[in-house]
Amino acid sequence: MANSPTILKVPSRMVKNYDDEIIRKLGCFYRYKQLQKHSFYLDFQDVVELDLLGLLILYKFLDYSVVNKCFFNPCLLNYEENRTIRDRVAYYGFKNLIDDLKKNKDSDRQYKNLQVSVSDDFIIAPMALLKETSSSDYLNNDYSRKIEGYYHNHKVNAMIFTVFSEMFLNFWAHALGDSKSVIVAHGNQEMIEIACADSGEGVVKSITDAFPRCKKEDALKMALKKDVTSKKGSNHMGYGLWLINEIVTKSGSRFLLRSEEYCYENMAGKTRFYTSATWHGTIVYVKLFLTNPITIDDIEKNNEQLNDLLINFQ
Amino acid sequence: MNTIIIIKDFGTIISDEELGSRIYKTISDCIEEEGSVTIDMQDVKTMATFCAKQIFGQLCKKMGQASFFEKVVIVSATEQIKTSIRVGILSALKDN
Repeated sequence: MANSPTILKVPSRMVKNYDDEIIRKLGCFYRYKQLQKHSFYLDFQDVVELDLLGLLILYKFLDYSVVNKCFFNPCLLNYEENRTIRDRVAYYGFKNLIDDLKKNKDSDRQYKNLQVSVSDDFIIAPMALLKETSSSDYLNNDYSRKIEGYYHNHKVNAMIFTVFSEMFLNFWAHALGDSKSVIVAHGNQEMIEIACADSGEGVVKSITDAFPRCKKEDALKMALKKDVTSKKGSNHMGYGLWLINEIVTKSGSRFLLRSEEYCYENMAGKTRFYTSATWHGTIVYVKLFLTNPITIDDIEKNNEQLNDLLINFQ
Repeated sequence: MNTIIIIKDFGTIISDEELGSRIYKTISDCIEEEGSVTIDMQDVKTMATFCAKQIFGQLCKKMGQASFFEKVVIVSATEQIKTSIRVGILSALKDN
Protein backbone atom coordinates (compact mmCIF):
# COMPACT_ATOMS: atom_id res chain seq x y z
CA MET A 1 0.00 0.00 0.00
CA ALA A 2 1.77 3.11 -1.25
CA ASN A 3 -0.14 5.47 1.02
CA SER A 4 -0.41 3.47 4.21
CA PRO A 5 0.92 5.50 7.17
CA THR A 6 4.59 5.11 7.90
CA ILE A 7 5.99 6.16 11.26
CA LEU A 8 9.76 6.33 11.39
CA LYS A 9 11.26 6.66 14.83
CA VAL A 10 14.38 8.79 14.93
CA PRO A 11 17.13 6.95 16.86
CA SER A 12 17.52 7.90 20.51
CA ARG A 13 21.21 8.76 20.26
CA MET A 14 21.79 11.20 17.40
CA VAL A 15 25.51 11.42 18.11
CA LYS A 16 28.85 10.30 16.72
CA ASN A 17 29.58 6.64 17.41
CA TYR A 18 25.92 6.10 16.55
CA ASP A 19 26.18 7.68 13.09
CA ASP A 20 25.88 4.28 11.44
CA GLU A 21 22.55 3.61 13.14
CA ILE A 22 21.27 7.10 12.27
CA ILE A 23 22.13 6.70 8.59
CA ARG A 24 20.73 3.17 8.46
CA LYS A 25 17.44 4.34 9.93
CA LEU A 26 16.99 7.57 7.98
CA GLY A 27 18.46 5.98 4.84
CA CYS A 28 14.95 4.80 3.93
CA PHE A 29 14.44 8.40 2.67
CA TYR A 30 16.45 7.44 -0.41
CA ARG A 31 13.80 4.91 -1.40
CA TYR A 32 11.11 7.59 -1.54
CA LYS A 33 12.86 9.85 -4.05
CA GLN A 34 10.20 11.66 -6.15
CA LEU A 35 7.44 9.41 -4.74
CA GLN A 36 5.74 12.09 -2.62
CA LYS A 37 4.64 9.46 -0.19
CA HIS A 38 1.55 10.43 1.79
CA SER A 39 1.12 9.89 5.53
CA PHE A 40 4.75 9.91 6.50
CA TYR A 41 5.58 10.61 10.15
CA LEU A 42 9.03 11.20 11.57
CA ASP A 43 8.87 10.70 15.31
CA PHE A 44 11.39 12.41 17.61
CA GLN A 45 9.96 11.09 20.85
CA ASP A 46 12.87 8.78 21.68
CA VAL A 47 15.70 11.26 20.99
CA VAL A 48 17.73 11.84 24.15
CA GLU A 49 21.00 13.12 22.62
CA LEU A 50 21.90 15.21 19.62
CA ASP A 51 25.37 16.43 18.71
CA LEU A 52 26.96 18.26 15.80
CA LEU A 53 27.38 15.22 13.56
CA GLY A 54 23.91 13.88 14.35
CA LEU A 55 22.36 17.22 13.53
CA LEU A 56 24.29 17.55 10.29
CA ILE A 57 23.10 14.12 9.17
CA LEU A 58 19.52 14.90 10.20
CA TYR A 59 19.62 18.22 8.34
CA LYS A 60 20.97 16.63 5.16
CA PHE A 61 18.29 13.90 5.22
CA LEU A 62 15.49 16.43 5.78
CA ASP A 63 16.88 18.60 3.00
CA TYR A 64 17.17 15.57 0.73
CA SER A 65 13.53 14.69 1.36
CA VAL A 66 12.36 18.21 0.45
CA VAL A 67 14.58 18.64 -2.60
CA ASN A 68 13.72 15.18 -3.90
CA LYS A 69 10.00 15.38 -3.06
CA CYS A 70 10.06 12.20 -1.01
CA PHE A 71 6.97 12.97 1.06
CA PHE A 72 3.66 14.75 0.68
CA ASN A 73 3.00 16.90 3.76
CA PRO A 74 5.26 14.89 6.06
CA CYS A 75 4.66 15.27 9.76
CA LEU A 76 7.36 15.64 12.42
CA LEU A 77 5.95 14.10 15.59
CA ASN A 78 7.15 15.15 19.06
CA TYR A 79 9.69 17.60 17.69
CA GLU A 80 8.40 20.64 19.55
CA GLU A 81 7.67 18.54 22.62
CA ASN A 82 11.17 17.06 22.80
CA ARG A 83 13.17 19.72 24.58
CA THR A 84 16.50 17.99 24.02
CA ILE A 85 16.25 18.12 20.28
CA ARG A 86 14.66 21.56 20.16
CA ASP A 87 17.34 23.08 22.38
CA ARG A 88 20.27 21.42 20.62
CA VAL A 89 19.02 22.45 17.18
CA ALA A 90 18.82 26.06 18.42
CA TYR A 91 22.22 25.77 20.14
CA TYR A 92 23.94 24.78 16.91
CA GLY A 93 22.27 27.64 15.01
CA PHE A 94 20.08 25.42 12.83
CA LYS A 95 16.66 26.40 14.23
CA ASN A 96 15.37 28.44 11.30
CA LEU A 97 16.80 26.01 8.80
CA ILE A 98 15.09 23.01 10.39
CA ASP A 99 11.88 25.00 10.89
CA ASP A 100 11.61 25.52 7.14
CA LEU A 101 12.37 21.90 6.41
CA LYS A 102 9.77 20.85 9.00
CA LYS A 103 7.21 22.64 6.86
CA ASN A 104 8.51 20.67 3.86
CA LYS A 105 9.71 24.02 2.53
CA ASP A 106 12.89 24.65 0.67
CA SER A 107 15.37 26.03 3.20
CA ASP A 108 17.24 28.22 0.73
CA ARG A 109 16.77 31.54 2.52
CA GLN A 110 17.61 30.19 5.98
CA TYR A 111 20.52 28.24 4.56
CA LYS A 112 22.12 31.48 3.41
CA ASN A 113 21.61 33.08 6.81
CA LEU A 114 23.56 30.71 9.02
CA GLN A 115 25.47 32.70 11.64
CA VAL A 116 28.56 32.25 13.77
CA SER A 117 28.00 32.55 17.51
CA VAL A 118 30.63 32.96 20.18
CA SER A 119 30.33 32.70 23.95
CA ASP A 120 33.02 32.42 26.62
CA ASP A 121 32.89 28.65 26.51
CA PHE A 122 32.09 27.75 22.92
CA ILE A 123 32.23 28.86 19.36
CA ILE A 124 29.61 27.53 16.97
CA ALA A 125 30.14 28.27 13.35
CA PRO A 126 27.78 26.85 10.73
CA MET A 127 28.42 28.01 7.19
CA ALA A 128 26.65 27.38 3.91
CA LEU A 129 28.85 26.51 0.97
CA LEU A 130 27.17 28.60 -1.68
CA LYS A 131 28.29 27.78 -5.18
CA GLU A 132 27.45 31.20 -6.54
CA THR A 133 29.72 32.97 -4.07
CA SER A 134 33.46 32.70 -3.66
CA SER A 135 34.31 30.56 -0.63
CA SER A 136 37.04 32.96 0.37
CA ASP A 137 34.48 35.73 0.69
CA TYR A 138 33.10 33.74 3.61
CA LEU A 139 36.33 32.69 5.18
CA ASN A 140 37.76 36.17 4.93
CA ASN A 141 34.87 37.86 6.68
CA ASP A 142 33.53 37.58 10.17
CA TYR A 143 33.85 33.85 10.19
CA SER A 144 37.62 33.56 10.38
CA ARG A 145 37.98 36.62 12.60
CA LYS A 146 35.65 35.10 15.17
CA ILE A 147 37.45 31.76 15.17
CA GLU A 148 40.84 33.45 15.35
CA GLY A 149 39.65 35.74 18.12
CA TYR A 150 38.44 32.79 20.16
CA TYR A 151 41.66 30.78 19.84
CA HIS A 152 44.55 33.12 20.61
CA ASN A 153 47.36 30.61 20.09
CA HIS A 154 49.00 31.11 16.71
CA LYS A 155 49.80 27.44 16.16
CA VAL A 156 46.33 26.33 17.18
CA ASN A 157 44.83 28.77 14.70
CA ALA A 158 47.25 27.60 12.01
CA MET A 159 46.16 23.98 12.52
CA ILE A 160 42.46 24.86 12.54
CA PHE A 161 42.66 27.03 9.43
CA THR A 162 44.74 24.45 7.55
CA VAL A 163 42.15 21.74 8.20
CA PHE A 164 39.35 24.16 7.43
CA SER A 165 40.74 25.37 4.14
CA GLU A 166 41.66 21.88 2.90
CA MET A 167 38.19 20.55 3.81
CA PHE A 168 36.54 23.58 2.36
CA LEU A 169 38.32 23.43 -0.95
CA ASN A 170 37.72 19.71 -1.30
CA PHE A 171 34.01 20.04 -0.67
CA TRP A 172 33.75 23.03 -2.95
CA ALA A 173 35.33 21.11 -5.79
CA HIS A 174 33.84 17.68 -5.20
CA ALA A 175 30.30 18.25 -3.92
CA LEU A 176 28.91 17.90 -7.43
CA GLY A 177 25.15 17.79 -7.64
CA ASP A 178 24.62 19.21 -4.16
CA SER A 179 23.72 22.85 -3.76
CA LYS A 180 23.39 22.77 0.03
CA SER A 181 26.61 21.62 1.60
CA VAL A 182 27.22 22.91 5.10
CA ILE A 183 30.42 23.11 7.06
CA VAL A 184 30.05 23.42 10.82
CA ALA A 185 32.60 24.05 13.51
CA HIS A 186 31.97 23.71 17.22
CA GLY A 187 34.65 24.11 19.79
CA ASN A 188 35.98 25.15 23.14
CA GLN A 189 39.52 25.83 24.37
CA GLU A 190 40.38 22.10 24.44
CA MET A 191 39.03 20.94 21.10
CA ILE A 192 37.24 21.91 17.93
CA GLU A 193 34.98 19.71 15.81
CA ILE A 194 34.67 20.50 12.12
CA ALA A 195 32.13 18.59 10.07
CA CYS A 196 30.94 18.79 6.52
CA ALA A 197 28.33 16.70 4.75
CA ASP A 198 27.11 16.72 1.20
CA SER A 199 24.75 14.61 -0.82
CA GLY A 200 26.68 15.07 -4.04
CA GLU A 201 28.71 12.63 -6.04
CA GLY A 202 30.93 11.45 -3.20
CA VAL A 203 34.58 10.50 -2.83
CA VAL A 204 34.10 6.83 -3.70
CA LYS A 205 32.46 7.59 -7.05
CA SER A 206 35.00 10.31 -7.92
CA ILE A 207 37.88 7.93 -7.27
CA THR A 208 36.41 4.89 -9.03
CA ASP A 209 35.46 7.03 -12.05
CA ALA A 210 39.02 8.36 -12.28
CA PHE A 211 40.66 4.98 -11.57
CA PRO A 212 38.44 2.32 -13.14
CA ARG A 213 40.66 -0.47 -11.83
CA CYS A 214 40.20 0.68 -8.26
CA LYS A 215 37.58 -1.39 -6.45
CA LYS A 216 34.95 0.58 -4.56
CA GLU A 217 36.08 -0.96 -1.27
CA ASP A 218 39.60 0.41 -1.87
CA ALA A 219 38.49 3.91 -2.93
CA LEU A 220 38.80 5.57 0.49
CA LYS A 221 42.24 4.06 1.00
CA MET A 222 43.21 5.50 -2.37
CA ALA A 223 41.69 8.92 -1.56
CA LEU A 224 43.80 9.15 1.58
CA LYS A 225 47.07 8.45 -0.23
CA LYS A 226 49.40 11.33 -0.92
CA ASP A 227 49.50 12.48 -4.55
CA VAL A 228 46.38 10.55 -5.59
CA THR A 229 43.72 12.79 -7.10
CA SER A 230 40.60 12.11 -9.12
CA LYS A 231 41.29 15.36 -10.98
CA LYS A 232 44.62 14.67 -12.61
CA GLY A 233 46.06 17.46 -14.73
CA SER A 234 44.40 20.13 -12.58
CA ASN A 235 45.65 22.06 -9.58
CA HIS A 236 44.27 19.32 -7.35
CA MET A 237 47.08 17.15 -6.17
CA GLY A 238 45.71 14.53 -3.81
CA TYR A 239 47.11 16.23 -0.76
CA GLY A 240 44.23 17.64 1.31
CA LEU A 241 42.75 14.46 2.78
CA TRP A 242 46.21 12.99 3.30
CA LEU A 243 47.28 16.14 5.16
CA ILE A 244 44.18 16.16 7.38
CA ASN A 245 44.79 12.50 8.19
CA GLU A 246 48.44 13.19 9.11
CA ILE A 247 47.50 16.15 11.31
CA VAL A 248 44.89 14.02 13.09
CA THR A 249 47.38 11.19 13.68
CA LYS A 250 50.13 13.42 15.01
CA SER A 251 47.92 15.62 17.18
CA GLY A 252 46.08 12.66 18.71
CA SER A 253 42.79 13.77 17.19
CA ARG A 254 39.91 12.06 15.41
CA PHE A 255 38.87 11.79 11.77
CA LEU A 256 35.87 10.12 10.18
CA LEU A 257 35.32 9.85 6.42
CA ARG A 258 32.19 8.28 4.94
CA SER A 259 31.09 7.84 1.37
CA GLU A 260 28.46 5.40 0.12
CA GLU A 261 28.77 2.33 2.38
CA TYR A 262 32.48 2.80 3.02
CA CYS A 263 33.99 4.40 6.11
CA TYR A 264 37.38 5.27 7.45
CA GLU A 265 38.15 6.20 11.02
CA ASN A 266 41.36 7.49 12.55
CA MET A 267 41.48 7.82 16.32
CA ALA A 268 44.86 9.26 17.29
CA GLY A 269 46.62 7.12 14.71
CA LYS A 270 44.58 3.97 15.28
CA THR A 271 42.89 3.51 11.94
CA ARG A 272 40.29 1.22 10.42
CA PHE A 273 38.31 0.86 7.22
CA TYR A 274 34.86 -0.67 7.48
CA THR A 275 31.53 -0.90 5.71
CA SER A 276 28.39 0.62 7.03
CA ALA A 277 24.99 2.05 6.09
CA THR A 278 24.97 3.88 2.77
CA TRP A 279 25.41 7.65 2.65
CA HIS A 280 24.82 9.19 -0.77
CA GLY A 281 27.67 11.69 -0.87
CA THR A 282 30.51 12.35 1.55
CA ILE A 283 30.77 13.12 5.25
CA VAL A 284 33.98 14.41 6.75
CA TYR A 285 34.19 14.85 10.52
CA VAL A 286 37.33 16.00 12.30
CA LYS A 287 37.74 16.52 16.04
CA LEU A 288 41.00 18.31 16.71
CA PHE A 289 42.46 18.28 20.19
CA LEU A 290 44.32 21.51 20.73
CA THR A 291 46.91 20.67 23.37
CA ASN A 292 49.44 19.48 20.77
CA PRO A 293 48.77 21.51 17.62
CA ILE A 294 50.36 20.18 14.45
CA THR A 295 50.82 22.15 11.25
CA ILE A 296 51.85 21.39 7.69
CA ASP A 297 55.49 22.35 8.39
CA ASP A 298 55.64 19.81 11.25
CA ILE A 299 54.41 17.15 8.83
CA GLU A 300 56.80 18.04 6.00
CA LYS A 301 59.89 19.22 7.88
CA ASN A 302 61.97 16.20 6.83
CA ASN A 303 60.84 16.18 3.22
CA GLU A 304 64.12 16.76 1.40
CA GLN A 305 62.48 17.31 -1.97
CA LEU A 306 60.64 20.30 -0.51
CA ASN A 307 63.65 21.64 1.34
CA ASP A 308 65.75 21.44 -1.84
CA LEU A 309 63.59 24.01 -3.62
CA LEU A 310 65.55 27.26 -3.66
CA ILE A 311 62.59 29.57 -3.26
CA ASN A 312 63.57 33.15 -2.47
CA PHE A 313 61.91 33.55 0.93
CA GLN A 314 62.98 36.64 2.80
CA MET B 1 61.02 49.23 -10.05
CA ASN B 2 60.20 46.13 -8.07
CA THR B 3 56.46 46.05 -7.40
CA ILE B 4 55.25 44.62 -4.08
CA ILE B 5 52.03 42.65 -4.24
CA ILE B 6 50.33 42.49 -0.86
CA ILE B 7 48.41 39.24 -0.64
CA LYS B 8 46.30 40.23 2.38
CA ASP B 9 44.60 42.78 0.12
CA PHE B 10 43.04 39.74 -1.57
CA GLY B 11 42.26 37.97 1.71
CA THR B 12 44.00 36.41 4.68
CA ILE B 13 42.68 32.94 3.94
CA ILE B 14 43.47 31.84 0.43
CA SER B 15 41.36 28.80 -0.17
CA ASP B 16 39.37 28.93 -3.36
CA GLU B 17 40.05 28.64 -7.03
CA GLU B 18 38.57 31.97 -8.07
CA LEU B 19 40.69 33.91 -5.58
CA GLY B 20 43.77 31.91 -6.51
CA SER B 21 43.18 32.70 -10.14
CA ARG B 22 43.00 36.45 -9.43
CA ILE B 23 46.23 36.37 -7.46
CA TYR B 24 47.98 34.32 -10.13
CA LYS B 25 46.96 36.79 -12.83
CA THR B 26 48.06 39.81 -10.82
CA ILE B 27 51.51 38.32 -10.16
CA SER B 28 51.91 37.00 -13.68
CA ASP B 29 50.97 40.36 -15.25
CA CYS B 30 53.39 42.14 -12.95
CA ILE B 31 56.29 39.87 -13.91
CA GLU B 32 55.51 40.31 -17.59
CA GLU B 33 55.56 44.08 -17.25
CA GLU B 34 58.42 44.53 -14.83
CA GLY B 35 60.46 41.36 -14.96
CA SER B 36 60.38 40.66 -11.22
CA VAL B 37 58.08 40.92 -8.23
CA THR B 38 58.01 40.86 -4.44
CA ILE B 39 55.08 39.10 -2.85
CA ASP B 40 54.22 40.14 0.68
CA MET B 41 52.51 37.37 2.68
CA GLN B 42 52.22 39.39 5.92
CA ASP B 43 49.07 38.44 7.90
CA VAL B 44 48.07 35.65 5.54
CA LYS B 45 46.75 32.94 7.87
CA THR B 46 46.53 30.00 5.54
CA MET B 47 46.85 29.07 1.90
CA ALA B 48 45.26 25.82 0.74
CA THR B 49 47.79 23.64 -1.04
CA PHE B 50 45.53 23.73 -4.11
CA CYS B 51 45.93 27.52 -4.27
CA ALA B 52 49.68 27.29 -3.61
CA LYS B 53 49.97 25.06 -6.67
CA GLN B 54 47.58 27.20 -8.68
CA ILE B 55 49.55 30.37 -7.97
CA PHE B 56 53.19 29.57 -7.25
CA GLY B 57 53.37 26.12 -8.82
CA GLN B 58 52.01 27.31 -12.14
CA LEU B 59 54.19 30.44 -12.10
CA CYS B 60 57.30 28.36 -11.44
CA LYS B 61 56.36 25.96 -14.21
CA LYS B 62 55.69 28.79 -16.66
CA MET B 63 58.86 30.75 -15.84
CA GLY B 64 61.18 27.81 -15.28
CA GLN B 65 62.68 27.11 -11.86
CA ALA B 66 65.83 29.23 -12.20
CA SER B 67 63.94 32.26 -13.40
CA PHE B 68 61.23 31.87 -10.75
CA PHE B 69 63.73 31.57 -7.91
CA GLU B 70 65.57 34.63 -9.19
CA LYS B 71 62.68 36.95 -10.04
CA VAL B 72 60.05 36.12 -7.44
CA VAL B 73 60.78 37.15 -3.85
CA ILE B 74 58.34 36.09 -1.13
CA VAL B 75 58.47 38.03 2.13
CA SER B 76 56.91 37.68 5.58
CA ALA B 77 55.49 34.20 5.03
CA THR B 78 54.90 32.02 8.09
CA GLU B 79 56.53 28.59 8.19
CA GLN B 80 53.14 27.05 7.38
CA ILE B 81 52.67 29.23 4.32
CA LYS B 82 56.23 28.55 3.17
CA THR B 83 55.60 24.81 3.37
CA SER B 84 52.30 25.12 1.48
CA ILE B 85 54.08 27.06 -1.27
CA ARG B 86 56.86 24.43 -1.46
CA VAL B 87 54.25 21.65 -1.68
CA GLY B 88 52.36 23.49 -4.44
CA ILE B 89 55.50 24.12 -6.47
CA LEU B 90 56.80 20.57 -6.14
CA SER B 91 53.46 19.15 -7.25
CA ALA B 92 53.33 21.42 -10.32
CA LEU B 93 56.89 20.49 -11.27
CA LYS B 94 56.07 16.78 -10.93
CA ASP B 95 53.16 17.24 -13.36
CA ASN B 96 55.65 17.83 -16.15
